[in-house]
Amino acid sequence: MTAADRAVERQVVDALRVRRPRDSVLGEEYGASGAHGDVRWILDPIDGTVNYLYDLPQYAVSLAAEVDGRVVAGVVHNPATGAEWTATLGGGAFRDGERLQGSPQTELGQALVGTGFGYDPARRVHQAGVLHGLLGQVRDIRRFGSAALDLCAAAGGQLDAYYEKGLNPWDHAAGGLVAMEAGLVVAGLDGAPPGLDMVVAAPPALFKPLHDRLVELDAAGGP
Amino acid sequence: MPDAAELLAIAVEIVREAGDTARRMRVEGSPASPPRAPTPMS
Repeated sequence: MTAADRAVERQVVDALRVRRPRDSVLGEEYGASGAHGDVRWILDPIDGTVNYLYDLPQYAVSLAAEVDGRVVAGVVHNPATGAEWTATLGGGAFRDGERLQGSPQTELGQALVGTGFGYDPARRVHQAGVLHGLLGQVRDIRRFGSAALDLCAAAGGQLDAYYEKGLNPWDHAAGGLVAMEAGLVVAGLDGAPPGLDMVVAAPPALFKPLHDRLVELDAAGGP
Repeated sequence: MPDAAELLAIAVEIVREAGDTARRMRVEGSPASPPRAPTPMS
């Protein structure tokens, strides 16, 4: 956690309290707060904190609005580049106003796949094993360090697909909606919703082969 | 039921302002603590 994480979260929470005083907020740094209105905001003040600390331009502010347990609006903003991804449920996904459609890739063997690693060493070892089993079956792997931006990259076809274990709601709420509204399947494994055990985002033609390989590799298992 | 487009407009405005704060703190060199690896966040 950095002072910037805390400062950004406080700024967003304060701004929401002024404009939407009845809503609650779930933030990475301070947890749940606020009233219990119709809307719950889900915030990651800086997704990609290590990149931020190292001055790598791959971090984002991510904010989603959830109504009755469904994310209905989301925005992911990269302050370093100015790029911005937005989506509303049923309204499509956009990068800087341009509609997103995901990758047309249909072969897993030709797919550029993004992923990320946890912070617990034991989990990393397990994730390395999964990667070992996947790397020979895809075009290549990318690990950029921001789940929100990875999901947006998949939405825009800069990655063909993405998977990661260990994501919290603030990591994938906004980016997941962007990916889904770009036409990707966003889900966990074996019919589970996207969550802590696994988030997979892929175009329909890639989802099943990637999903099945991840199941074979027990990607949702381990610590 | 709140309007999704209206919620998005609020979110965009707030996130841009928050992004300015993050970038400014980065430029001013006050993002805080030195990185430790592994750290419990991303």
